[in-house]
Amino acid sequence: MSIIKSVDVKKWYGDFQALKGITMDVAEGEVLVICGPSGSGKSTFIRCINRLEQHQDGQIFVDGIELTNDLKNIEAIRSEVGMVFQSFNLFPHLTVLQNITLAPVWVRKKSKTEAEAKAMELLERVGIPEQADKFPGQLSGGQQQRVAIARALAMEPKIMLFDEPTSALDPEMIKEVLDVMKELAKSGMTMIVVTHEMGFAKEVADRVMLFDEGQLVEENTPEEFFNNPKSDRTKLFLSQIL
Amino acid sequence: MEEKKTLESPPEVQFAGVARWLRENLFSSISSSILTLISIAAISRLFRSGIGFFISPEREWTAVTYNMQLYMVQAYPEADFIRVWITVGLLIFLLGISWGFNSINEKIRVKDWCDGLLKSISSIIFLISVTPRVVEVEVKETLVDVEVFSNNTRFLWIAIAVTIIAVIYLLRRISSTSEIVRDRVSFIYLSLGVALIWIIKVPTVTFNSLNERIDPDPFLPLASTTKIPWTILFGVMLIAYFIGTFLKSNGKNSVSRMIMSSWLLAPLLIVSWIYRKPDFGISNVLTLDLPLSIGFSIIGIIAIRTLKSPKIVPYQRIIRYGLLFLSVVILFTPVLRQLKILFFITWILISIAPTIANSKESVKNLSIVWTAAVVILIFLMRGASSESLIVVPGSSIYGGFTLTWLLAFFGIAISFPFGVILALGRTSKLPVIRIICTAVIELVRSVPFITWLFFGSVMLTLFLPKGVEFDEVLRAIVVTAIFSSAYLAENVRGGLQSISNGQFEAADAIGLSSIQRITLIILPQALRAVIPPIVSQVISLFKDTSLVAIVGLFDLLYIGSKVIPNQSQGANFLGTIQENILFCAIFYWLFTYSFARRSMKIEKRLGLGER
Repeated sequence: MSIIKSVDVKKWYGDFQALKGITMDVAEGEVLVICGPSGSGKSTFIRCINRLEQHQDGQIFVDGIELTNDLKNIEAIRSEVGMVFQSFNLFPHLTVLQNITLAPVWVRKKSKTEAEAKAMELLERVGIPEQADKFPGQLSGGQQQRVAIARALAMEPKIMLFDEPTSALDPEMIKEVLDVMKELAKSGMTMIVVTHEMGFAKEVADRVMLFDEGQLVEENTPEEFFNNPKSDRTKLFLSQIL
Repeated sequence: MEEKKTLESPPEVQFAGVARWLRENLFSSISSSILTLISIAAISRLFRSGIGFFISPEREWTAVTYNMQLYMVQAYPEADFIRVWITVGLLIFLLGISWGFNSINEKIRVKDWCDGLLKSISSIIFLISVTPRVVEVEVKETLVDVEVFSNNTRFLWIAIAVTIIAVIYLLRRISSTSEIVRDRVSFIYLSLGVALIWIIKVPTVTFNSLNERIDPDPFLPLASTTKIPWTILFGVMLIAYFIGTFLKSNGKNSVSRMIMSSWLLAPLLIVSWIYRKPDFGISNVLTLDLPLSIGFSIIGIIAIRTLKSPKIVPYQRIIRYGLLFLSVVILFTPVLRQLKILFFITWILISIAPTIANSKESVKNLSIVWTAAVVILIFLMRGASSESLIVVPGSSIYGGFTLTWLLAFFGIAISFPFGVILALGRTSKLPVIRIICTAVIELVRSVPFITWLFFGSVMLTLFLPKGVEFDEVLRAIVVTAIFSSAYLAENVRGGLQSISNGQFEAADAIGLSSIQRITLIILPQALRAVIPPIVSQVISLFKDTSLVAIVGLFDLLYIGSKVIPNQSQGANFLGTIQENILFCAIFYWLFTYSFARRSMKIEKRLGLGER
């Protein structure tokens, strides 16, 4: 049973075609890693999944609902899909705890105490409960990204999207974020991860995809992808990155 | 001998580290020494002539002190002054409570406090030493030197100042580690100020039984007629402060909301009831206000309770739009103004009630708030729409500082929400709203304020339905508010543009609706970013209120520049324009500067969370 399904998705920025017909699906509980050179459309594609970008042709279904301009559908899907950004995008005027409880209180209409208990649990899970009352600006990059993950998890989403979550981090902070993501993957969360961290892909991915120039070039299991790639483009990409 | 030594020596002892400071900061090189000396000479000269102007016998400062009443309330009749004092008292009471409630018990070290005092007293010594001994005065077309500040007085003053410095220095030495609550320091200053009202004596214009001015003016306490009210008000403030701290220590969360709403209601209450003594008429209250408040309270409570019931839910939309249509129709039919507003707020209630009242507790709370809102609204509107029993010459009972305060307060209070709405509208994705808001902003901004004032005073009546007439002051307030909201909108828009796209995306990604995104994420950050320009806009609005003189209103500056210098009845103050203008300048400066200081502190407090 696929929880995300896209059929021939196309997207243009002006005259530039960013996505040239992506057809793929993701099963429930699957961890999918998307890699590819910059400008290959991988970020654009996962941003289409919660409609931060609009696709202009083709269809995307999330949890059985088709993404259209209907605001009700979009809001329903967004509360089912968590997203973690490259630049964290925490709310600087709110404390860590307020960042995490905001959506549960205002969107899910939970009580404040309930949301705070859940938030502390999540902070515990990402390993920084002691930072609850600090402001994002007082945390390191790695800690901020972990808060961002906790914020997305607070809505109890069915799917988590990661848009290059470690690209803006120092090497020693990458590990702490990846550890959280690995733990999340093991807990059975459906995840789509856009990343250049090939180690992560090898270890936890169920499938790996390579995007190039707006097209899905290769789709494979991690072992096959790294050891026995089908296409020449993948070989070239791997030779450059590894 | 010992005594004398302490008198003479403190400057050297207490400025022990200062010699080095001077060398490092002011005389570090030849060029900087020259610059320092030139600046000191220039500053001394400036102060010398400035103080000379102030204390010259040619200055008639009694023109200001005698007319203080005119400055504050213009032609308001003396018999009703108690209303003015109650007004001031109410505001001071609120101020005291909010001060006590929001006090963070910040402590300052006695040492730092003493350092500050030493600095100010040193500058006073500087002022005393540059004060000129003689001032040139024109007597019969020749310039004569008149002694105004004899050397003996100068030495006496300096000796007093030096003694005070010695005392403070000792205090600083003894309690170098102890701390004092900042609020207490403020109270010490305030009580000193009140004490000065009783002690200091100044020349005061007085008349004998034949109604002739006594010459020379006798020396009387500074505020001889107002010293008792001011002392009482000081007591009120003290009591309010302690009530505030008491409420805070009892930790009631609802109190802060009550204080906030009192701040919103107090000015309306003052304008509609206390300051203008409305002729409300008991029959009106019984036949109209009472039934209206009971009726609308009941309608509202029924709506709150039934809107969520499954039978009504499918019709919610119809009820909402029906009521909106009805209130728009009523807005344009000639019925009681009360009804128009009541229908409108009932519509607002029905739109928000289903989302707010989702538990038993909140249904109860909303019912109470609704009933209170209806009753207060009807009460205020009765006061506002009745004739005032206070008869004053001229068209308006508001004049002087009262008018300035009124225009500034309501101008700011109204323009703030409007400005934010205009800014949001201008950045909206919906083309109609964007075009309307852009047009309003550009139209309002591109025409001078004075032109708008004329428009409001002369032409506005042509655009209104027959029979609708606004008070001149109300028209000025509306014009000020609209004009200011256009500028505010542009400031806020600057703040909106400073918010990165990532914030919008993050808000979307966690599922916030677009209204939640704006109110919870974008506006709080945008407004924080534009505090400095908003503060300068508030300051300029405060000063721009002086332009209303052009449409015939008597504001503070107009009284100072035109009314008093033409006074010849009672006391003769013809041509005292310099003194009065200077007073107005100082008065405006006091208000704007303390506001700027206050907002700097708020900015610091808000900036805490930002990186």
